Amino acid sequence: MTESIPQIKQSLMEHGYIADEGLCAAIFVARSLDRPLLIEGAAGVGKTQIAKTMAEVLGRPLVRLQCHVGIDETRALCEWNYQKQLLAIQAHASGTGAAGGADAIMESIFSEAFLLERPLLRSIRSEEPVVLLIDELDKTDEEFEAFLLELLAEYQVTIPEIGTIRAVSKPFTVLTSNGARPLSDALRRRCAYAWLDYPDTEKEIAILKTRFPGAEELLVRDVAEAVAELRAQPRIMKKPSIAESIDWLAALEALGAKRLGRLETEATISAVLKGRADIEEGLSPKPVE
Amino acid sequence: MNKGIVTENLVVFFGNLREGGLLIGPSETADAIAFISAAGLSDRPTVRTGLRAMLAKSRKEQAVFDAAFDTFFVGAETMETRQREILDKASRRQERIETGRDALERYEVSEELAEAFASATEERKEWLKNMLDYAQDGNRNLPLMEAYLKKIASGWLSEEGGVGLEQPDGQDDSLLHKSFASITEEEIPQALRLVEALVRRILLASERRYRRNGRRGMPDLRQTIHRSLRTGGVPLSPAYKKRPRSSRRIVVLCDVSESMVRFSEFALTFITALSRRDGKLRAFIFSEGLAAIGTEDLTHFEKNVHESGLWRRGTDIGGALGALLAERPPAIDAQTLLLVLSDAKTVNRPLAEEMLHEVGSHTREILWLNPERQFSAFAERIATKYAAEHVTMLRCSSIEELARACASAL
Repeated sequence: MTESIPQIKQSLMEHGYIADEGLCAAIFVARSLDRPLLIEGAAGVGKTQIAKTMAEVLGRPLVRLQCHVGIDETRALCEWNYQKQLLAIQAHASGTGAAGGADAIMESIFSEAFLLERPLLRSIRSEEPVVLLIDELDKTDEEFEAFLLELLAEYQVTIPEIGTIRAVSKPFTVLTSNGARPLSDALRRRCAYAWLDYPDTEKEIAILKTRFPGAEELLVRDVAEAVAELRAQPRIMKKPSIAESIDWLAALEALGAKRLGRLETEATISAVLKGRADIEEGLSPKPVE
Repeated sequence: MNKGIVTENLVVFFGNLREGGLLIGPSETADAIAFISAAGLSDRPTVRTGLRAMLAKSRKEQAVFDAAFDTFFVGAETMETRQREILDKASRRQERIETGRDALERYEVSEELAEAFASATEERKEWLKNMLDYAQDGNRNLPLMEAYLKKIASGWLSEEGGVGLEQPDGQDDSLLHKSFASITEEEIPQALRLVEALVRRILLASERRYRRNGRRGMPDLRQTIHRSLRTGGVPLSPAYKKRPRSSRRIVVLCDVSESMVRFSEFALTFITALSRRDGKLRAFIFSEGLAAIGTEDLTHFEKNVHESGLWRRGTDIGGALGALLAERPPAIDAQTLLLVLSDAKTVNRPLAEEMLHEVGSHTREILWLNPERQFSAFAERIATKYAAEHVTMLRCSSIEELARACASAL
């Protein structure tokens, strides 16, 4: 174990990420026990950003696997280079390829030279340890989740034609989920867990100040308080995320606003609320003066 | 730090967590002990957040963990306070027992009975004394009578101490199973969010079912051979069949009488979101007349209903089906799945039956989503009589039932 929870918090802050104790403790546990870190929470609360920031903190390259419906091991782990295999077979048939019989060519085209490396394989074959981000895992199906278990628990993968490939260096793995479907207990129990919620006003102010060090103090507070108020309104369907409050402040800065008044709100509300009904609802209460 | 005691305490704590529903296996136990050994026990917040990250793997589990941790790991001051409270409680109980025994000195009573007597109302005291006199006559089954009185006394003490189970916090679940009629105005945004989440889940599941058959569909041999001509007959770029597009059209007929408008809004939101992929949806609202309604933006559904002139009018299903048949260009054809959102409480039932038969012969299938928990006699009649004519009536009294019906139909 090389760091403590306060040290993690400090390092993240130095790289522009304001983290709470719970998240820092989860990172500490994940690092201490060589476990993947599973982060759940609403969209836009900084789940993906934590992997990027950890890559900066640890000075490692970030390898990202963006999950989606229908993703399988050929997209995530590796795929046989079909075209290269065909060309090798053609070359062999015409007598211009490598020497040997049918068995030799069969063995040859199912070797690592014919393998196209995808993010998971790249992350464990890298000489230099990396940060592996498996983003939006909840978009995948259960089979893919089960396939990941071997990698997450043992840091190895098994390719039937080649055998088991063990990690050259252990990646620091971050998995994120928006909760579109519940993840299995088998996966959860292999991970350190953190839930990220929307930040409170003071934390939001700290985040905004980190991003816009030169912004007007009062304007930053206005934005943070207005965003908190919008999030608290039950009729707003798509709650504003941290990224959207940053966008809102950026829009206000671009307009040269000093405070968030009615006019400024009307001009820039589309940066924070997405959808006609939400905008109407957001504009109905009195904005922060 | 005495490692033996720490391990022993942790094992008891893990037992409490297991009782709370957390899955704590030997590997989690070993991890936790390794963590404590590394991080130490001196900093309570660190131990708490560290163990929570390791052992609680969802938001719900985190809440269970926090409660269990706060109860189990307490500081010296809290421990002393608790001990004092326990001693105070015990001494108050002893006082009550003695008071009860003094009052009932001519009877041989248990501690529990004496305590219950001391804290009972005058009326109950009188009743208990009568019962004890009755039991002491010697003519009755004394052990049985004592057991009976003990049970009564235990009940009184429970009332006294307010013993009871806490209501679980199942707000989301309750909304899922709540009838549409009882969803309050304040709960509507939350219910609509629930509908959105369910739609996402259903779409994801249906997409997975399709993808499971193969990432890119079945191989398209014709296209593959055609492409291979460019590379001297070598099939370098295999082609795969695309997902077959459904030729089905969906028409939704929404009853917007006063009691039905909320159900129609929820159901139409569901159906629109689920059928968005196919893009062949048309919706109509009806009461005593029929009007087409756009499905691009349903946020103002209720307002649109008010403006349509159909609000607070009677329900005429037969008339609405007749008007639907008369639509030009035709709204329904042999490829149409007609979804009727109504409780089947209509005027002119013979006409409704006649038109249902007529519309049924023009469409592929009619699916009737009925929000009533108990079907009316007319609804039962439709459900049974027209089942053979491709009319299926499904009970959709809650969001959960509606989701299930829509998932299977769409």
